[in-house]
Amino acid sequence: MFTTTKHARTLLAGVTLVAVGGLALTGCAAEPESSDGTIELTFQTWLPTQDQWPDIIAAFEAENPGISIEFDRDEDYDAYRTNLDNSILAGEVPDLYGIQVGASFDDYSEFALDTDEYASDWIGQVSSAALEQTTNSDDVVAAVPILLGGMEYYLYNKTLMDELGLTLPNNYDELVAVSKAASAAGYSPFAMGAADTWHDADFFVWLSNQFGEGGDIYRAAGGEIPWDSESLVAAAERWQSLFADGVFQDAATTVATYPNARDDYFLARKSVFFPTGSWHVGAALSTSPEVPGSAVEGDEIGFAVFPTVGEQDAGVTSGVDFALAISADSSPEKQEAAAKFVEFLAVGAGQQLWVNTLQGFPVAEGVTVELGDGESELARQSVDLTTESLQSSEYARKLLAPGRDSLENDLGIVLQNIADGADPASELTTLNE
Amino acid sequence: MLRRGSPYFYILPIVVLAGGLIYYCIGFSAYASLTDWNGLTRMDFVGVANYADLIEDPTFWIALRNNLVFMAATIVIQAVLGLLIAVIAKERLPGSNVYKAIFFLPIAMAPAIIATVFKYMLEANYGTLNESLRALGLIGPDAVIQWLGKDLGIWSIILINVFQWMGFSMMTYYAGLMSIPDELYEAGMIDGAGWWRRLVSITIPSLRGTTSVLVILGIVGSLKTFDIVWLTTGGGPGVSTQFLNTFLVQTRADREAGYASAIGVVILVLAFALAMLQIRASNRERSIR
Repeated sequence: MFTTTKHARTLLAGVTLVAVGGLALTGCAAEPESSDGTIELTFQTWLPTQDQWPDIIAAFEAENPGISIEFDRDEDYDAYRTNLDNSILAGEVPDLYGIQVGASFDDYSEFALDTDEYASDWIGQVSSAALEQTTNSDDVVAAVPILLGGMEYYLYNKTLMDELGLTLPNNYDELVAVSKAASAAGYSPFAMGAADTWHDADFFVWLSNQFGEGGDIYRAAGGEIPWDSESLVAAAERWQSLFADGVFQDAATTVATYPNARDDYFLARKSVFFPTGSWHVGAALSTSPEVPGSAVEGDEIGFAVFPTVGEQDAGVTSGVDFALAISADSSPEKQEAAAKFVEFLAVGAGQQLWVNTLQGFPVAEGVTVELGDGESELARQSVDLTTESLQSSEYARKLLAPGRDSLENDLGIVLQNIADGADPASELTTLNE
Repeated sequence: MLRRGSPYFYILPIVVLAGGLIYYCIGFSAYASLTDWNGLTRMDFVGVANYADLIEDPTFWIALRNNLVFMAATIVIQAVLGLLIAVIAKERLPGSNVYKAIFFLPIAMAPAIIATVFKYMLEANYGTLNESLRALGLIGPDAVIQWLGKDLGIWSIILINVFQWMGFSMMTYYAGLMSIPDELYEAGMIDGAGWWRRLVSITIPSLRGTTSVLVILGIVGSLKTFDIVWLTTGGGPGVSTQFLNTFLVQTRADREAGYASAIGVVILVLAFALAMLQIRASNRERSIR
């Protein structure tokens, strides 16, 4: 009897401990409360980077002393989406969250506050083309565009090019010639991260607009024309020839853009060129955090639009690289505070501060990138060229195919197979299914 | 009453934990596999449509084939090498403890570290393996062997797994060897059995139980394989090195959570069926003996 009672007490103590522990954990997960009247917001995102955030938040808090922001950042967009999904499924939508325009925009916009409710006074200062991209299928502008980005560009090592006697290519023949010359000198030519399906798909969207009348790929994504249409097959054949003709390095489909193509090839001074997006123009500046300590430290780095390799020039593709949404579930006080932060980043001092880092290009009309006095002429040319090419861009960077979120990955896989020698037309046909 | 029920109270915590954390999740996955869940909002019942799609999906069959090739190759290679090294180590050769430690060391390393190191070693253009082969003149100065490409990728992943887990087979066999009576070997030697004869007729039959455990662990482990694939090839190029688990994760990332759940259920059923087959085969063998 005594033993049973003792066991019962032990059990009771155990159950109590679990209950108290559970309550304590519940307490840990609760919303942060302000002790001094400060409104505390949660901000889940993949951008700004950890390096950029301190300056941004310091400037915002100086303007808005009663608001503080808990910054929860993931290193890449895929990891971020997983964590955001988990937060939403747990019923804890962050007060502020980042969104990239693309197939999943509609899903996330369901949890966002309509921008009509907080941004109508100033959203007119934001590029209307950008706002179209953050409008969901119910015609609601669910997020405010903050930064623009585009494809396809490349970084080049000007110092190394001079050593090898190379000049920037302007067409496909020159591209092949300069690549062969770089290979003959013992360097990888264009260090393409073709192991990334996102990069393959982005590159192909840009490339395909140079065939036919342009824009066929968006019609294929929308189901209006088959994927094995003449212009898309022609683009896929050119994509294949970029690998077969030695423009991209050997085994490019096993190399990721980040970190491998960037760090192990370009910054290791083993390749002369590195295809990437507009966000990488910052590597051409003296303030770049990537170059110091690498093998190209001391080299002059430039940034250029990838030469036209198709039938006609179609310009770069562009799109909203980063948009910001406010949770529809947050309290009115938090939504009001969050709106101040969105305004700060979209059309306020935060926009200027952030675009000066060259993480992206401005959405606010009248805002331009401001460079420091110490920048070289090549750096200034690189930034000007990127700005102008983005401003004249006519085609979207990302494909929209509501209900088919896997399209970018499916297209990337098809392009990897083509790069490795598969028949372009047969491979593209698989996307029709 | 309390006395009669007390054993159940003792197992209550693990029942609650296992039930909540494992069996509830399995049940939810089974339910989700019957829906078109996008992982966030939409979740409509679609019956067995996901399973029907899976059967027609070429990526599923490539992933399944890779899993089976990986399973067969790693189980056999790790068992053979592990047994040989364990037998040699038991001979009390000079430095055998050092060899044991060296072979066991990779088990103590995180798969993420091993995968990353191998990824750099096997890199096609500037990886140390190809650079070494070029320096030794075994391949041409411009030759590029794509160790992580579509043809060799699966074999490189098998090699990495063998490197990491062979030491586990060795230590398991070594423990098994210690339980074999010396008298058996002495009797064999009196009958004129040499080293190989003793290995085949005494050691291997005596280690059937150990082998059976390693095979079951190998089956389950191979179906769980994810990290070394994800961190070396990511399932590519294309889908050439896709495994069932990487296929599941990629599908979930593409917001096809219902479809991903169906893949998860198939993996669970496969693991259960293969383990049961192995246990049944092992029991039948024991009853014949």
